[in-house]
Amino acid sequence: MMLRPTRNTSPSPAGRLPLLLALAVLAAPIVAVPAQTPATKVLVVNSDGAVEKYNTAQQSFRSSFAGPVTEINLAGLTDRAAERAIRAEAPTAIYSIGAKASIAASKATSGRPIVMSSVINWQRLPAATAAGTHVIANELPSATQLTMFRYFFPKVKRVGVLYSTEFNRQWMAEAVAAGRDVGIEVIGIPVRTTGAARTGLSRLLSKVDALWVASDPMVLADEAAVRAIFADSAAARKPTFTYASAFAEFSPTLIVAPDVPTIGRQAAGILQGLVPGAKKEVQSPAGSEVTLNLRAVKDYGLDLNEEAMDSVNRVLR
Amino acid sequence: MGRMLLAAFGAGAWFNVRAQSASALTVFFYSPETNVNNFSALKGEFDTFLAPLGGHKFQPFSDRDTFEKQLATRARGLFLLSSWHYRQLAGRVALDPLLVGNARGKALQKHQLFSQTPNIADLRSQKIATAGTRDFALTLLNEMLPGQQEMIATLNLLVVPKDIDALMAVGFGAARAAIATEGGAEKLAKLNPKQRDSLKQLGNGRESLLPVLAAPRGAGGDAQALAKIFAGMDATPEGRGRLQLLGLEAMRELNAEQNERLTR
Repeated sequence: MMLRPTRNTSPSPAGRLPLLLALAVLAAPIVAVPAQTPATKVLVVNSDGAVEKYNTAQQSFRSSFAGPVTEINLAGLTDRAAERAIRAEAPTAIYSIGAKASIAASKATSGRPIVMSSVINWQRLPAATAAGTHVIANELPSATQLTMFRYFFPKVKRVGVLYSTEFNRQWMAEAVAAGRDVGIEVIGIPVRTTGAARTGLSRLLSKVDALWVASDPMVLADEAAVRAIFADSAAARKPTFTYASAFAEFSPTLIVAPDVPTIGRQAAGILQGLVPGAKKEVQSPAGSEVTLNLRAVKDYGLDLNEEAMDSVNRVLR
Repeated sequence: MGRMLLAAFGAGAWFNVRAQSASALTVFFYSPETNVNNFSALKGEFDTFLAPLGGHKFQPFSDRDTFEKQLATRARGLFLLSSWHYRQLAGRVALDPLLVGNARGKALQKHQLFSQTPNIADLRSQKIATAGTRDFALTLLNEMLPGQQEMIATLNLLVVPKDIDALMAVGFGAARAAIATEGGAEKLAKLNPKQRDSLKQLGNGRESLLPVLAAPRGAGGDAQALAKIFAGMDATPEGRGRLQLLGLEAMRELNAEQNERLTR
C-alpha cells in the first residue's frame, strides 16, 4: 500500500508526546530581518503529525502567520515520496518542522526560502547551510539557561558539564564565558567516548554544586547513558539542571527548555518579513519553558529563590 | 442512643459536604499582560491550595473572549484580571475590585521599551518582543512613543512567555527591541548585568496597578470569604509559593487612590 501525505488547511489533531533525547548544539549569531513582503504560497511541512511538539509549533505558526497556509504531514512517507509531495504543492516558501521535513524540503525545492525548526543538531544538515535556509535552533542559548539557573538557585556557584570536544568545544567556551557573566563557574570535563563519560562524571560531581546535563551527542549517546548520568548525579546528591522537557522522567531539579509555541511564532515572523535574496537568519528560541522539581529542591536542601516561581511552567512534586 | 448519634453525625457530615460544595467558587484568571504558558502549573497548584479551604477552583484562560463570556454570564466566582483589562471592561461589566496584587512591596508597575539601539527610527519594520498580547503591546507602544503611530504600525510583534525572555531575545538577536516591566529589567540587571547593560531604555510607560481580584457586583458573602483567603495567602509558605506563580508577593485591599486609578 502506498502512503499519501496528509494535507490540510485546518488545525491538525494534537499528537502524542514522544521521548526525545535531544542531542544538539547551539545557535549561531543572527542577522537582522529585512522589510516585509509576505510570501505568496507558504507550505508547512511537518515531519510527523503525531509528535506533540511538532504540532504545537505548526499550530502556533498557523495562528501567527498572516496569510493562507497549506500543510502536509510526512509521517509514514519514504524520503522520495516526501519530496514528491512537497514538489507537487509548488510552494514559494516553506516552514519545515523536524529533520525529515527539512531534508525533504531542501531537496524538493531549489532556491525557495525555507525556515526550519525542531531539528536536533541542525548544523549536521547540509540543507541548513544553504543561503536561502533560515534556522530556529533547537536549544536555548547557554547564557539563557545559566541566567535561569542563577535566578532559581542563587547560591549555586559551580556547575559541572560533560562535553565532547568533537561537538561542543566552541559551545563550552561560550558557556564558560556566559557563566562568568552571571556569577556561575562552569567547570567542564571533556570526554572522548560515551564510555568515558561516567568516569569523568564521578570526578566532576566532587567539584561542583550542580550538574548541567547539556546537549551533546556523544555524552548523551543513548537512553542508557542518559539514565546513568542522572542516576549517578542523584546518588552523589547533586541537583541536575538540563535543557529539554523530555528529560522530566529522570527527575532533574530544573529544566529550562525552549517554549515551542514561541518557535512557531518566530518562524512565522521570519517568513512574514522575507524579501527575495534575504540574508540567512539563524535565531535562538526566544521563549523559555521551565520545569521545577520541588521534591528534588527539598531533598537536596537547596535554597530556592521564591521570586523565581513566576517563571515556572510545570511543577514536579 | 448510639445509633441516633451515628445518624446525627452522618446527617451533619452530609450537610457539611453539601454546604461546602454549594459555596465552592471558581477564580477565573486571564491576563493580556503576560503570555501565560503555565496553565497546568497554575491550575494544579491553586486547585491543590484551595481544595481544603472550601473546594474552590482556579481556572486560567488563554483566550480573552472565553474569559469575558464568564464575566458576561456572571459565573459564580471571582475574577483575577489585569488592571488594564479591568479598565477596558468599565461600563460593560459591573465589577467590584476587592484586592490588588503586590510585588516588590508595590501595587504599581511600569512598562518600558528597551533596545540595543538608542534611535527609535531604527525600530521601523523590526521585531519587538513582548510577553503581552498584541492589543496590550500596541497600547503600550502608543503610550511610550507618542507621535510615532505610523512607525508603530510597521512593527512586528513577537509574543514570548516572560519579560525576561523578551529582554534576552534582544541580546540574542531574535528581536530588535523588547517591551518589559521595570521589574523585569531590574531582575535582568541582577541576574545578568552584562545583558542589561547592553540595553537602552527607549520608552517609558505610565504606572498601572498589578492584577486585580474582583467580584461581580452584588456577589454574596461567599465571594468575600474567598477574597479573604487570597488576602491571607502571603502569610504561609504554601500561599506565597502560589502567588509567586503569578509574579505576585501578596494581595491587598485597594486604598482610595488605587480604586480611583481603576476608574480613570
